[in-house]
Amino acid sequence: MNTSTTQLADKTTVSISATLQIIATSLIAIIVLYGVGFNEMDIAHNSAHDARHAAVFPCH
Amino acid sequence: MLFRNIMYTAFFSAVIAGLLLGTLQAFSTTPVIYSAEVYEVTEESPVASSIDTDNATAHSHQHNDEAWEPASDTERMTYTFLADVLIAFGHSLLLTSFLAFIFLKFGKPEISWRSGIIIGIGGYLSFYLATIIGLPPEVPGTIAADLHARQLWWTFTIIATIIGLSVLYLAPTPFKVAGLIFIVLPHIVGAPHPEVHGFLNQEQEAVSALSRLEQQFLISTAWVNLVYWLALGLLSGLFANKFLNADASLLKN
Repeated sequence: MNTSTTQLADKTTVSISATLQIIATSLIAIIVLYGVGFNEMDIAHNSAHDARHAAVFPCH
Repeated sequence: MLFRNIMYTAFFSAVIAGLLLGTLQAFSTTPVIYSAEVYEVTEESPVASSIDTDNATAHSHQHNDEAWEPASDTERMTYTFLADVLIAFGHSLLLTSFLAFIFLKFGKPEISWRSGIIIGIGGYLSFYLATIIGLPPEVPGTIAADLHARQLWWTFTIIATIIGLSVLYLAPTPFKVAGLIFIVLPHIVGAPHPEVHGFLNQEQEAVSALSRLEQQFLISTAWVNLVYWLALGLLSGLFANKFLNADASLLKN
């Protein structure tokens, strides 16, 4: 009984943590894409300009 | 450690797919952008001032003397490659996270280059095809609607299309129609458009040249982005198969 409870608890922990890890990588993706695609600072805009146009990000 | 393995997958996929994207662009889209810039006019010029810019922002470079910009074409190309690798990193992170998530929750599909390509096609449909229906690819010098309104619609369209395609792919048949609703919704709402479609430079010669370049840009972005997404999907699936398949976090029951 004790063993099965422990196993169940372990599995639950692993499953939640996998979901959280996937949420974390997705958030990093959004931050990176926002930075390259939407950042309006001149330095970001002018260096990523041609890439933004080609990847059809709204630009200018 | 799932987090680390997704990051590894995205890193290796992004370096290869990003460099491929940069190389394809150098021969296709970038020359079109350079050609269009020849016809750019500054805000102060008499040609530009005749256009009503209250509701439309001029899609032109704000040539501010103090603003940093690449000093040479070589430097400019280098930054384009760097931006491409970063974009590919973001795309691959999303793609790999999605692949890991549906494998975790639905136990399908197997993580491989095949499923990678399928999700890659989904990426092309969401990030390219769905967005250009409302906001066609623009060359520099095009008159466009407010930037933030366009960014909002663009983001909304991508999210709605991803949800729609996911429902179509994963949901039982009776619910698949909900997926179609999500896909169509952004186009019912409609993309923000300027009051007049045209170019900042209104000289006859410029308009005809820019119209031609605009068509050329549509064709080149269409195939370059398709090749890129197929490659990114394939690579992400391939590296995910290597890094994720043995991941304890994904192997439930």
